[in-house]
Amino acid sequence: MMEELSLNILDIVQNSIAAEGTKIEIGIEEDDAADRMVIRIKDNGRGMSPQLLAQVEDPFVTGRTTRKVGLGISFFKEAAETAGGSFHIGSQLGKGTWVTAEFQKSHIDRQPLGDVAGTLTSLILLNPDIDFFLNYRVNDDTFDFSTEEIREQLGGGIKLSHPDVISFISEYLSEHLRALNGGVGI
Amino acid sequence: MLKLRLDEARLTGSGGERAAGKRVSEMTVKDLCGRLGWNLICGSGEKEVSGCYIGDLLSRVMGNCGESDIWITVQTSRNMIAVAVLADAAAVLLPEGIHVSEEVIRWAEQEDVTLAGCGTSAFSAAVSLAGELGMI
Repeated sequence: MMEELSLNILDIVQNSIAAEGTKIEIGIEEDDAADRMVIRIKDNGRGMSPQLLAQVEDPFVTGRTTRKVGLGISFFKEAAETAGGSFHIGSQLGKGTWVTAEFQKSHIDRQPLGDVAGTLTSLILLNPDIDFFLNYRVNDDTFDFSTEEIREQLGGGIKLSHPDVISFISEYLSEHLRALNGGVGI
Repeated sequence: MLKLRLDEARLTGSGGERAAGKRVSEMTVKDLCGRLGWNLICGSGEKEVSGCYIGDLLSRVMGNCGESDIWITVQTSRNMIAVAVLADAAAVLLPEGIHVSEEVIRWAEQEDVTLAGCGTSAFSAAVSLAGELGMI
């Protein structure tokens, strides 16, 4: 397990990037009435064969034989299952991979979500040509973010990794995610 | 060579010094099990022990548990075995009489990970280990 779920997200997204994904969607959903938290990550990368998919949750296969994947999936699965939740990974060759981790939100062993704004900002900074989407829902409130929209507003010529753009994205994300959570860290 | 330097550093370091000439860490996991009453669950226990790391958050263990450390943890998952292999720990010590399933023991044997158990807390196990290693 890792100390923050946002580190798990970072790890899984790095797999997506390694699999040549160009469009990466991150969904976070918190439902207090159902005591549930769900994290979804979906990419349009090269996907996995059914054989690799069947083995990918095994830390020995992922950690040692196929170095490119890493322990990320095993850790994320463990984080979900330790917190009374479940984990699912699906993939199709040529189409992409999708991961869903579900947690009992109030479970004592659920790791904190951590710095989602910071995680996404660093991913954008390091991969300015990838399209990232974030859909973050807390009960009835939703926040949507897409690098595509920002790119449209910027027009051609300016990279998302430009320092001014990055600092704008960082503030924009922090502000909206704080508002979504009623100013309370989770 | 590396080993010798390690011992020298320990001999000359502040606190926990021992009289020069006395070998410090020549203890194997098996020796420690015998001396401290730990239960050697599986593995040869032939690896030499030079220190200890306590932690349950696997991502931190990967970065901080030194090779030839005794890693004390309450984790008994397959991921724990994977991290023990990556960290090259001398052994994994499960404190507080934690139960290990046959399945975990089988995985440990497959990956050549030495597992041991003890009835005490991680703290007391680490303190007695430090005593045996001449660190306190």
